[in-house]
Amino acid sequence: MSTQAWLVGFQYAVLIYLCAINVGYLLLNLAAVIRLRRSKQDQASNEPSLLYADLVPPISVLVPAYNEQATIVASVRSMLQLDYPQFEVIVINDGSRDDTLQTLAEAFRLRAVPGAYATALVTEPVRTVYQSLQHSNLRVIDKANGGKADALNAGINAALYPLFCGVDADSILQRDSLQNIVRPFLDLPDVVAAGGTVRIANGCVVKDGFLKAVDVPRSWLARFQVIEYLRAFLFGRLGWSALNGMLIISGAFGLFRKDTVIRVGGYTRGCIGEDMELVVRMHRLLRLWRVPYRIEFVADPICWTEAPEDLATLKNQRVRWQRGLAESLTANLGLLCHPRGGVPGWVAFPFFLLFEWLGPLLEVAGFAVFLMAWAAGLLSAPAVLTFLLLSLSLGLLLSASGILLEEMSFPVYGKPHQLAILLLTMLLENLGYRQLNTLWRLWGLMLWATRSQARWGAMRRHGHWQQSPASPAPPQKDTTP
Amino acid sequence: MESSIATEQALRIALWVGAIGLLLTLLAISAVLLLRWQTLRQQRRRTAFRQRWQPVLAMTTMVPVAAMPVLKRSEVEFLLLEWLEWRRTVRGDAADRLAKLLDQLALDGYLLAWLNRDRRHQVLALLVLGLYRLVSAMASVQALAMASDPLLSTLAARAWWQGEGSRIAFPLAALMARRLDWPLARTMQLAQEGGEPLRAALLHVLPDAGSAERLRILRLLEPHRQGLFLPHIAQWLAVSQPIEVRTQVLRLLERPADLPWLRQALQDADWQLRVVALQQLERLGTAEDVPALIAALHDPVWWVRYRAAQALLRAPSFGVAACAALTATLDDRYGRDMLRQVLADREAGL
Repeated sequence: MSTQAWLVGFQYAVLIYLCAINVGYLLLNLAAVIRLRRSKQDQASNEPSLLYADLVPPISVLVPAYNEQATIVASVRSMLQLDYPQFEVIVINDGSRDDTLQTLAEAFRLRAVPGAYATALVTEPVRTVYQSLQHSNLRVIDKANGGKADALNAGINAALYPLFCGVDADSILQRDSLQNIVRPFLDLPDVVAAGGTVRIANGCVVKDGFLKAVDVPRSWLARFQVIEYLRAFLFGRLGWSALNGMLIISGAFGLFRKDTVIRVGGYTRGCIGEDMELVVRMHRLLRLWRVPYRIEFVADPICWTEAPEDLATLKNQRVRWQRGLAESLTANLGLLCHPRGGVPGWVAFPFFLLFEWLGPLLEVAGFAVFLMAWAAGLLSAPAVLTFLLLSLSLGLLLSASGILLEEMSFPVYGKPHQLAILLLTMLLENLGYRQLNTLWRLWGLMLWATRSQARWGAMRRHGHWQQSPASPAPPQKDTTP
Repeated sequence: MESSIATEQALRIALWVGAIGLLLTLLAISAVLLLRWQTLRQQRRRTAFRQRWQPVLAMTTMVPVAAMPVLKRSEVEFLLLEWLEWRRTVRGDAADRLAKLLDQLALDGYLLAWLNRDRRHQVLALLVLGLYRLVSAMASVQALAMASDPLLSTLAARAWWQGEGSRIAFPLAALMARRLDWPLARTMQLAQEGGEPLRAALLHVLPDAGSAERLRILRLLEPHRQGLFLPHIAQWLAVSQPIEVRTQVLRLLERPADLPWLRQALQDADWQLRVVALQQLERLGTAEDVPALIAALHDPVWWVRYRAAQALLRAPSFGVAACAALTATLDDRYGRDMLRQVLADREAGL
């Protein structure tokens, strides 16, 4: 085959790939629109009396913490103020090297209680279980370091209630977060897990651990992530949820049926993307066992998180996400096109495999081949430009769809200037940021292939809102144990 | 030559796809702007509507109101949403006056028509009709209670009950047992609101129900468990029954006369049954049950030991001091640890 003929074939392959991925996303968009319309219709029927008629299941909120000394007290305080009839908060101190435990002990008057402890899931040894003397629904588990998944498993062992909600220690919740996320469990009998929309908190006003006012971030890097989150949550997860094929529930906020999670073996220790891996495994095993189930998504914004505002932290985060994705998919390859796989096995898994897992490799290879062919004089500049414009226009379309869905669902950026900034960000995001992200994801893929060791995901955070005025400035942490 | 033609063709396709992508992007942006404009317009209209109608609705809850602002056709939905908010918070005469307000405004026609419109209007109409109790709408409401959409049919069933009351207890109970797709929390809420007539009807359909329906009915009886006389207990607790049915039956036992069943369940091979039996004995048990509770502290299952320790701690005939004393004498490490934990929990204020 001549080089020219190979190049032609490659151009068609790129065209087909770009069209396939974008058609896939647009179909998800359509599914998300239908689901949104329906959930909007149902809103009128959501009666508060239902929540306070002893009919809602109690929830255990699990907060794994590793070196969270600076922010843990504010986070726990906000969680204790959640508006829900019956819940407990369990903080799992995963062998922190800083004063996380001492800070908690002082703030909440912790007292050690004897550790008779159910061990449905095997974890690193639990050193001590503490009970708050101030809040009867707060417990702290101090255990040897074993990673986030291990900490969550320890929390599941200690949880008293049938539903548990995994929450990142730095998540900012809304008072009605639990009320919103529990709704699928009330409306559908076979729901085993529900995820919620996570939004970017940078630029917002947060007081006492709760969100008071929403604004777009000042940093362009965080603004780009706003658009990314809109795409990922609103048409990504909402669309997949409509098809019962959602493979990810964010570790920042997700509600699970405890007995189902224990039945599938809990979180996988040492796994970077433990949140996604658990959901994919639930799909695989529940389908294999022919257990009817649903994994739902709640479009209401219920959890806010701080996005990285420097390139190094962002790169670290994206590399970890890509590795987590790779781990989750390869650990559950049995789901791929399994006769009982249904939508997760026949549609969602192949989609993630081709477009999310291998996507960075294909995209970078595409760019590289086009540029090399142009440099070697095999492809004209207009041809390269045409394909770049094609990639740009399809990227813009997806970002615009995300903003459209936001507008249709729960628009939080209500002011005209905020919308203008979002639209401008949508344009700029495609000029460098997306390409950079693709490179980081490719790096993550390579790291996964070389099987580097999994660690806790530490992030350089600003978290100004998390501190009380009297507390000292937190030491920044950017290292992993 | 052929390669060059193919390249041109690929480029042409790429150009077209790119152009379509850009066009769709522009459409999406236009839709965003249009939606934003519509939302703002809607908000302004609703605010203006509230300013005119909130005082009227507030006044209606206190005294009948004769003079009312003009209600435009486009404002009917706003009014019904506001009416619903007010109606959910009032009882008695105030509720009657709010119903009369809808009579005065002659909204029956709208509500009936909305039952046949799109889902959004159907949901709103059903919520209003349940509280408005419009007799002429009940046939349509009943028909919607049979619809396949779980949420819509549950709302219709509730509106049907609110409109017709105990007259429909038996058909409604049968429907509640049959519709396994109905959201459990909402259905239980309906069972709770249905009171004694619905409880009697649920008990009536219980013996003939299939196994899945049986479990459903037993769950729906939970709000009515106080003083509930459950017939055929031995049959429902038989080992041949699914564990969910057996545990649910135990949860419904509330009378002192049911104690033998709880004591028997404490010896069952299934730990889930033992846990529920202990939960119930914690409230209903007597001094006679203390030895069995102490024996349960040696159970191999953590949850059984936990419940046994809780029951001992809260038993009037045993209590904190006896538990502390038992901790010192108990040989079994697991039982001892468990007692220590519940004692510490208690001290911590749990």
